[in-house]
Amino acid sequence: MIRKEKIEQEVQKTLQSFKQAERLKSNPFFYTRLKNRIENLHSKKQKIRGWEFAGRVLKPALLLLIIALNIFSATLFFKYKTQDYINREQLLDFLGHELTLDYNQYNPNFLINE
Amino acid sequence: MEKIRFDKSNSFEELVKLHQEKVLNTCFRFVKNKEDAEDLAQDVFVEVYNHINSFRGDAKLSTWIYQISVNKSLDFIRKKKRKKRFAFVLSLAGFRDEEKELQLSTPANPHTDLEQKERIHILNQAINLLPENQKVAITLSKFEGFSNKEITEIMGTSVSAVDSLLHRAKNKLQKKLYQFYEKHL
Repeated sequence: MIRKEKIEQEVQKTLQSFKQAERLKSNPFFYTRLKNRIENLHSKKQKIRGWEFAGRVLKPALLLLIIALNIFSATLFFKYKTQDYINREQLLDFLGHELTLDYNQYNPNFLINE
Repeated sequence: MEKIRFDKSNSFEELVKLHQEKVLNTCFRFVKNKEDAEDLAQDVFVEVYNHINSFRGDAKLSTWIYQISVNKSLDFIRKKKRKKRFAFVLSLAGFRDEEKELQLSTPANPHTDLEQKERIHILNQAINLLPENQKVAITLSKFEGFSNKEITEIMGTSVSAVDSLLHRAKNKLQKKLYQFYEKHL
């Protein structure tokens, strides 16, 4: 019985020690440290923002350029492809213009005629 | 713009000075280390500074600050536990962590009675055994003296839930302490 009472007493004493728990005093340079930290974070953020802006402008521009180049090369490809394969006459006509051949050379049958 | 920033920083300084000690002690109650508590308190005010514009004003500003303090402290404890678990797994796998953490309880007041210090230590250990929400409620109520209404706002629960948490926490603490003294007295 005495032991039980002693335990209960100790439990109560322990529970009452909430109020006696040590309290920390804040560092006198707490705000100075905090201010420096915020300023550092702010300058870092601004640098990141600069990169973000560059990324935001450069990335779409680069993408547009790549798309434009692709469209341009695709149109060129299909343009010549259709001209090539319509018929033999048209191909020779096109080559004649491109190479600026004279009439005899331009005439596809000039060798046969001779 | 400069004027606004100046005003903001001026009022921010006042805000920090008003709450820094309570924020520091709230963090300390959870992390039990002065340096970690100071770092966490700094983190709390950095977050307050960065998100002050998004503060909706539903609750008091002080409540919001303590809410951040509690959340940051709990995150810190969870991370620490995860690290401990990982270190344990590494040690099982044969990788030993050379750098051991020094765990000394440095009392703020050296004149505090040794017996009392021991009781506080036992109490802290018993609180650590409680479930997280009970631990938060009892720490805020008993160590930091927050009212039940304030705890309700900080924890984002109802008054009846806080009452119940505190009741269960006290009962559990009593039980744990009784079991402890039964073995050690």
